[in-house]
This record gives sequence, C-alpha cells and structure tokens, in this order.
Amino acid sequence: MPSKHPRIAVTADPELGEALARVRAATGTREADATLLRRLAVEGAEVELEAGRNRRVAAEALFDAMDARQFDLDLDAVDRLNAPPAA
Amino acid sequence: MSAQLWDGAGPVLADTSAWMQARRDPRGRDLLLSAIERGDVCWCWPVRYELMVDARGSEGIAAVERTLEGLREIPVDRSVQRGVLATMRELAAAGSHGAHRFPLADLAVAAAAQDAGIGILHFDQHLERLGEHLGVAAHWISDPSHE
Repeated sequence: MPSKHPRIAVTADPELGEALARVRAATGTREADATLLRRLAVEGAEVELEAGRNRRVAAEALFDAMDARQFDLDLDAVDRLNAPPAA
Repeated sequence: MSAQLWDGAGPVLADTSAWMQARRDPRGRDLLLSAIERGDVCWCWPVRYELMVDARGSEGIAAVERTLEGLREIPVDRSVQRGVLATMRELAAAGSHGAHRFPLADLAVAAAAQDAGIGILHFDQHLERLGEHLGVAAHWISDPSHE
C-alpha cells in the first residue's frame, strides 16, 4: 500500500520467519507479513516499556526494604575497605 | 584514588557493593534505577547469594528475588570458574605473598563480567583492582573519597 511515510528495511532472516510463523500458528492471523510485523513492533514496544517500568518498581521496592532496615548492610566495612592506606 | 565514576551507561554487572551503596547515595540510586529500567543492569549468582544473605528475613529475600528476576543473568559457568582460577594463578605469580587472595565473590563477578564482555558496577576497591587486571571496565557507583 502506498504510504507518505518512509519505509524501514528489515532482513527476513530465518529467526524472523520462525517468529512470524509461531504467531500465525498460535493466533491464526492471516495478516500480510509487513502488517503483522508492524503490529508486533508497536505492541512489542509497549511490552518492552512496561517490562522496564516493572523492573524499576521492583528495584524501588528493594531499596524501600533496605531503607526499612530489612537488610544488614555493613556500609562501614565497605568504607574501611575503600579507605586509602594510612600514611 | 582516581575513581572512574559511573555515568549511568551500560550494560553493567552490578556487584553487591553497588546495590548497598545505592541505598545511601541518591545519585547512584537514580542512575541505577534508570539503567535497570532500560535493561542495562545484570546480575550473577554470587551477587544474588550475598544480597539474600544480607536480607534479615523473607520480605527482604522476596524483594531481592523480584528485582533480579527481571534483570539479565550473567552466567557463572565452567568457563567463568576456570577464569577465576586462572586469575588467581596470575595474581599469585605476579604479586607478593597472598596477592591472589581476593574475596571469591569478587573474583567470580569480575571473571563473569569479563566472559560476558560487559563492565562492572561496584563500590569496592577489590573489583577496581580486578577490573584493571582483567581489562574489564570497572565503574564506581559513587566516589569512594567522598564517603
């Protein structure tokens, strides 16, 4: 279909072909390759961003637990280790 | 000590010391959280063990598990273990008595990062020295001279 937008060339290597075939087999979609690929890219971007947000939330909860003294973190020992040798 | 302070770029294998230091350093914590969100922070088994040991109970352990499960694992496989042994031999041959005596977790972290071709994020002079020995980029999460 003609488009006013620039195109992105994607190499149809075996890995990509297998990925598209797996989606077709699982969902029964009859979308053209380019249409299916575009939809998966758009949906995949959202999945990727959501995964990143979830990673951040989990790590923030870990730091909250550290702040709540649920960990024995001997930072004084770390500081002693990193201190330059006494003159 | 001339510290190579981390600018937030990845990918990096975060040592236990980096996680600990991020608890008290807001700048380090912000950089670490952003890198985690991008998927640029990795873990390996020795770090997981140490964080779990530091947890006082099941809530802390669960927080460690939930965090690390979302991050990329750097294998500590046979190749890495052989790398640890080779590093100890090299250090012993090149240095004075006991020059190979680094904490085993630090040796494994450094060898795993080298094997994976990524940098180390730390707050531990042992990893600074190991990174230098192995040719692995070692980044301080905070400036150690400021603590």
